[in-house]
Amino acid sequence: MSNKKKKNLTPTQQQYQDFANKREVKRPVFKNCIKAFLVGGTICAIGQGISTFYMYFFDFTEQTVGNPTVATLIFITMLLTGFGVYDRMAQFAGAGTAVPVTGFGNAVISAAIEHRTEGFVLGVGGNMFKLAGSVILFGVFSAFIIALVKTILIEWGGL
Amino acid sequence: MYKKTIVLSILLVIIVLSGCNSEDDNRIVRKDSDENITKINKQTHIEQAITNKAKEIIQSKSEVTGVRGVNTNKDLLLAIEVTQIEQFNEQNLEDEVAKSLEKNYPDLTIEVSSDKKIFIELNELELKIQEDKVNKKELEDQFNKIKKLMNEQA
Amino acid sequence: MLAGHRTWIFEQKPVIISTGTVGGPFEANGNIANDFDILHSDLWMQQDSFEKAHKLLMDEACQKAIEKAGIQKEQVQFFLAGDLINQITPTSFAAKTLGTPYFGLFGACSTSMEGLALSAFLVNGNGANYVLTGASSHNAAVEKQFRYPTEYGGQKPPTSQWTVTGGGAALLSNKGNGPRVTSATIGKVIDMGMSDPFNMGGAMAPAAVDTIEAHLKERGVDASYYDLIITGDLAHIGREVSLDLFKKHEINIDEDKFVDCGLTIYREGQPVLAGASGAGCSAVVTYGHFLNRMKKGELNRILVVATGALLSPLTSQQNQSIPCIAHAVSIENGGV
Repeated sequence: MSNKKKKNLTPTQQQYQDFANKREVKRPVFKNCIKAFLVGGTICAIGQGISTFYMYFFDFTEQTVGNPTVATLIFITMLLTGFGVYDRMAQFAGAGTAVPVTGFGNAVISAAIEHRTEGFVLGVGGNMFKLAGSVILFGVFSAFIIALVKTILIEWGGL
Repeated sequence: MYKKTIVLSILLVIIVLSGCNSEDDNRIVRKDSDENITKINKQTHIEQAITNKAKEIIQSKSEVTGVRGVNTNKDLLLAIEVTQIEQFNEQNLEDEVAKSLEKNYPDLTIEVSSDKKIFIELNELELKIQEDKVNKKELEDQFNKIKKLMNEQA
Repeated sequence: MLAGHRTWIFEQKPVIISTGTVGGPFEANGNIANDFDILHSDLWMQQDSFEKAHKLLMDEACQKAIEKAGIQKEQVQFFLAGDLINQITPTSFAAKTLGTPYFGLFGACSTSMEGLALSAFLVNGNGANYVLTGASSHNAAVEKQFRYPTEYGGQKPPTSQWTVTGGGAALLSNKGNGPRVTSATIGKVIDMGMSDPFNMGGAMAPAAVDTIEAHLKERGVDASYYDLIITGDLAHIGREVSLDLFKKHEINIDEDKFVDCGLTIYREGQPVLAGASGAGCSAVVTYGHFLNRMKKGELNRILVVATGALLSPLTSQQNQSIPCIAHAVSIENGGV
């Protein structure tokens, strides 16, 4: 918690928060990192396997194989999410399942499943991007900023 | 029990996949950790001397670990494999290789690719040429297909 | 009647003549599966939405309680209940089926004891002969509202808690056999400025401690008077924090006699992280497990302190702190 926030608290509150913080079980960050590395790496290895498969057996080059590979991974994610396996994997793996494209797929699919009961238009349509919407927005926005920086550097920086 | 099944199924997949690769190869093959070069060895009715020469030139570059290629009278297509670390620099290497070859063969259109897919396709085409399984027409078709793949954009 | 500032002593000692508890599949795998009247093997419970399943939990718990008491549902004069969903619709819809005069309550996870205290007050003051009270929660419905979609893969920290799928109802009467409600202490809203919605136990502990302290003082008894002091859903972290707070405030509480519903309901090894929570948690564990033990005579005097975190997804997203509340009700065997 930032110090600015702490200033708004009464002394009793601050005292209690220090008291409670000491007893709070912390996230095992290092262990989580290792798990995320292993599981995330496995997902990426599977992705690499799928793209190699497409290159050997279909007419995709390294340039064009990305799209079908992502589609396949998201399809697998859809099945895993629908069968209720993905969230359990995620509890174990954390960032390992959230960072690859499967995490994005899961965010969209889980929201779509969740709000199915409210109908297709207002339920699924309206809530599908509840979680993924901000990923798309800030993804596009940061891509724009990076493109801007690159253009400026090339035009005026002589890169 | 469960674990055993998984291990067994993985093994099975590996065996099946590697089983597909045991084809006869009559090319001159030199393979070690930093060299993976093949040459059409006998005089087939499709002349590949240019490619063979070009491969030697490219292989002398330390970043390049493998080469496959096929040529016609007008074109030369080459696929290169580079070391892990040079993968970041692949596009520049392609240009570099193409330029160095253009000096030697000014009248040929040379295209170099570092794409895995092109490498696979050229390898197959080489094998076919070696076995004399293609006529001029088929070669032309294959050649154009690979050329098209090379220029595909994602 | 009123003792001190916020404790009611019930001279009539209203009787909990029957209870009904319903659980979901996760509870069926838990520690106290035998104490449930009805267990569902499926989270959907043959309904087409989780909210309808939620309503069913409350419905069935009420029916079971009425059925076990051997009375007609028309004899029930009031129904006091609540849950966690927006505008407590599952409970209100259940009240529609029940058709009795109804008070909708919201006290987050403390709803069960809020309802029990008020019901006992009604019965004690001759306001009613039969009052039904209860609380329920449904894991998927609650998660959907307060957190992420059920199937979303987000890693929960070790402080987070698992919402119970369950509904518990108790029928109170001025006569009959069963454990009796002897007193109740109504909690104040306590806000220690904690703002992590994944650490509710830590936020609720001070409220529980405050209410227990007030109860012991105003009722004029020692902690050892009770066989068990049962908190609602403090879970591992909240329980430890409160034990330390008691030590700090120099109140003697035996660690073995300070139990938590959220730690009782599930077995070790179920993936619930810190423990269970939810409005249904204290309801099913108290009305099921602990009242059964009282009937068997293993326990004679218990104090149930249900704790509630009064947050909404909106307030926590706006970075507001989590105000908490706890209500204590004492249930005792024997006497008139």
